[in-house]
This record gives sequence, structure tokens and C-alpha cells, in this order.
Amino acid sequence: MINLLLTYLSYDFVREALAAGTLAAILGAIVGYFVVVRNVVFAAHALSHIGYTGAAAATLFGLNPLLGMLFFTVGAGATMGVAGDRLQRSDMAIGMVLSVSLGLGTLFLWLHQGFAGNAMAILFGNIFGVSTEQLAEMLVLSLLSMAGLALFSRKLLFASIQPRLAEARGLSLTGLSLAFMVVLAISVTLASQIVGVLLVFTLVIAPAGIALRLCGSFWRGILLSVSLGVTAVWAGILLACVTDFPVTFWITVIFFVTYGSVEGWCRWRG
Amino acid sequence: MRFLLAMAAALTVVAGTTRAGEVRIVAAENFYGGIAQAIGGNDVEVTSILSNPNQDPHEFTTSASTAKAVADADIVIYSGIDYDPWVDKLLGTGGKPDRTVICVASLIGAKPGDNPHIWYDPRTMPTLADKLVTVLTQRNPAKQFFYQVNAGEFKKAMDPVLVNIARLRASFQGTAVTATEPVFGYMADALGLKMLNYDFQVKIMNDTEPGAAETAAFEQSLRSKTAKMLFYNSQVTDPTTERLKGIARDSGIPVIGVTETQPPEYKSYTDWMQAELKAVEKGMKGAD
Repeated sequence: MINLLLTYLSYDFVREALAAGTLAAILGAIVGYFVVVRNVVFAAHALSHIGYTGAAAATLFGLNPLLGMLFFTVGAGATMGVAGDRLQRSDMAIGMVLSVSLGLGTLFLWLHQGFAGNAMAILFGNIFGVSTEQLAEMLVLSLLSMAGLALFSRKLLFASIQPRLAEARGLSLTGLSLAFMVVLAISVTLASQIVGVLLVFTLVIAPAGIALRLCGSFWRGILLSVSLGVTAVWAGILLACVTDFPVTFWITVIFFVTYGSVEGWCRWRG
Repeated sequence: MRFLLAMAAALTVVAGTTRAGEVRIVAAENFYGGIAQAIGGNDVEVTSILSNPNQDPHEFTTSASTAKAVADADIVIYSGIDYDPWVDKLLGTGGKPDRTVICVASLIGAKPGDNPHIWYDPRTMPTLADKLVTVLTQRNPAKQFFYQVNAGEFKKAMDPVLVNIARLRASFQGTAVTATEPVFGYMADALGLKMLNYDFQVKIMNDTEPGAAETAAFEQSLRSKTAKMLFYNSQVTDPTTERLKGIARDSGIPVIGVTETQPPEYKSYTDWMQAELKAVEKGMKGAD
């Protein structure tokens, strides 16, 4: 089995998968921390699915799928951000935006005359098909998002936990919320390149959710979230090499088992 | 248990080594793999990835062993024009420096947006056979004659298919037919059949909803018997196509199942095509 793993590790596609998976996991874990703290989990879910509409549009107009997805997710994210906290936490409003986006995606595929294999592929991701150019795109986007987040993370945390006090101190809640939703949109789009639109949740919510259950402090929580995310992605990819089962299956199972154990342990301790 | 079996299978894949000088060919679909085996004979080791799109998840996600097979391949054959976009992705992740990639759609000049089932065009496989002779000869010039003989054999086996097509064309040219999916499209063109409701077929192929007008026109073509025959993809079952098959049967229109990939019971592409042409002939005679 070790030999098999070493054989696989000598391949470019495995190394590129590990690199891309690491990028998506780090960004997802950090952004996910704020998603859980700000309680906008459903908005994150909706944004990833809106990415499918972007992929369908890209198929129809013959554009780069990543660009198509970014166009739609960043647009929807910015709208949610400007509309403010009430919309972001309103399941009803997000549900409506989500369904009209998916409806639009259906229309794009309906208008498409060729074979729509690419739009379908984005639902499940393709971690073993990450090219060097795609990796470069991901690196640039994740560095930009993390730099942006670093600039306003303290204010964002403050505004997330004590919005009234933050507003009284002169912070713009709408501005922060807009900036965060744009970063979130970019992150879910990147993560869906790897695990697919349907499973973005695993990378964006799971590590942060588990970390927040265990650590109260911000920095330790972020650190734990990132390590959980990266470990799960690496373990998932290596297990997929050994068993030939899909990577996404392994990543989701690892997170589910970890979450279950942590939850059980916390309850048992009281 | 299944888990252990999968592990064992994965281990044997890696353990299996090729003989020195053997050319590794990966075909995205089994019908291309069959031609490659016929031309290359014992000089090649062919792996076909997709045998049945409905039993096979490769269309959407790529397993580690598929990615490895493509990375190890000397020659990769795939259909192209978005039928198998996962191949494009895998080709972007490196591989052997002297790898030859054959995109069949580019070979025959099909463009994105065209019907992707290009292997149903009777001109496609002979063109691919010639291309394989060229590519294999570059790797092993001493065996050029062997490859040419094999390609000749394949074309000889194609002759009865072409004769059959010409014969059916002479009898049934201009007959209007319809289909739930555009699988048989190119062969229907070759037979001179007039294919109705193409837009509807594209919607079913892409798992999107056909429009109301398209659906109405389709049902009308069956009920009024404008269409003399209904083709369906027998590897796919969904409520819409089941409904249309029911309407066709009620109207007394022959319903012919065709397959997207080569079923295992046919040893070769030509056997497969002959069987489908035979079903068409039977249906046409029944319709008259």
C-alpha cells in the first residue's frame, strides 16, 4: 500500500491535486470561520449553487467556466452584502435568489445546442484534473481573498459578534458585509473547482464548525480550522489513490466522523 | 468486503506492467478502444474508460486510476466537442512528454455545438483507423506493414456495413423518423432519413427540460404518424422517453433502441453497427 501511494505521489496530477486542495482548504477554513460566527451558512450554500448557473452561462457563451462562476457568485454575493444582515440571514430571501439562479442556469443549458458535459462536471468537481494554469489562477485568487480578509478581519469579527457596538464606534456594517460576501463568493467558487458545487459545504463549513466547537479564542480557532481542513483534504486525496473511490466521498466522510466524535465528546464532557 | 476488493483491484492495476516496447493506449470510450486494439494488435495495450455512460461515473468525476491511466498513456484517443470534457482536464495535468493525443472530433472536422455522437458517422472509424496507422508507425516504423494490413482488415469489415447503408438508403431515403436523443443522428443522415425534432433531442441529451412547443410537436409527429419510426437510447431510461415510447407504440410506430456505447455482446464496432442496421430494416419493413 505504501508502494502504491509512493507510485501515485510521483504523478503530476496527484501533486497538483494536493496543491490545489491545500489552497482551497486553507481559504475555506478561514472564510468558513467567519461564515459560522456570522451565522450565514445558508448564504454560503446558496452562493456555491449559484456558481452552477455561472458554469452553465460559461458553457452557453463559450467562456472560461471559472470566470463565468466568479461573475455570478460575486454578483450575488455583493447583492446579498449590500442588502444587509437581514437578507443574509433570511432563508426565505436567499432561497428565492437561489431558486431563480438555478432556474436561469436551466435556461442557459436549454439554450445550449452542444453537449453540456462541462456544466454537469462542475457539480462534482474534478480534483485530479487541475492543470498548472488552473493552479496559478487559484493561487492568485486565494492570495487576493486572504489579503483582503486580513485587512478587515478584526473589524469584521467585532462587527459579527457585537454589531450594535461596532456601528456605534463608526464601523460601516454594510461595507464590511459587502466586502465579506465578495470574499466568500470567491472562496466558494475556488472550493467548487475541487470538490464540486454540491459539496462545497465540506470545505467551507465543516472545519470551521468543528474548530469553533473546540476553541473559544480567535487565533487558535482559525489555526485549528485550517489544520483540520488541510489534513482532511490530504487524507481524502491519498485514500482516493489507494481505494480508487472518489476524493469527495473521503473528504466528506472524514469531516462527518470528526464532527460526530467532537460533538459526542463535547456533550459527554457536558 | 467490497472495499477490500476495490483495494485489491487498485493494487493489481499498479502491479500490472507492460512488456518492453508495448504502446499504452487509453481510449475515453470503448468503441475507439476497439479500433485501436484492431489496428495495434499485440503491440498495444488498450484501456477503455467509458463503457456505459449510465453505469459509469467517469463522465462527472475522475477516479485516481483513470487519471493515472491517462498520465501513463503513450496515445490518448477521445471523442471531443464536450462529450468527454474530463479528458481535456486530465490532459492538462502533465503526462508522458512524447504522448500523442487523438481528438476524433478534430480528426473528422466536427465543431463544438455539433451532435457529439460522431462515432455513428460511418466515415469516422475508417478515418481513425488511418490516423492510428500513422501514429503507431511513428513509434514503430518496422511494423508499418502490419498496421496497414490491420487497417485494411478493418475497412474490409466495414464494407458490408457500407453496402447495407447504401441498400437501406436506396429503399427508405427521405423517410421521416424521430428520436428521443440524437445518438443515432449521423447514421440516420447516412441512411438519408429525415430526422424530426432535433432540438427536443438535444434537451434530453443534456438532461434539461424540453419546451412545451417542442414536446407538443414531438407528440404530434408520433400521433399523426408523420414520423415512421422512433429511436431511443436504450442505455437511458427516464419518464419523458418512456412516455414517448408509449405514444409511439399506441400509434403503431416501430420503436428502435440504439446504444450510446458498444454493448459487450458485440465483438466489434462493425458487428454492433450491423445489428442496429438490421433492427432499422426490420422496423421499416414492419412500418410499411
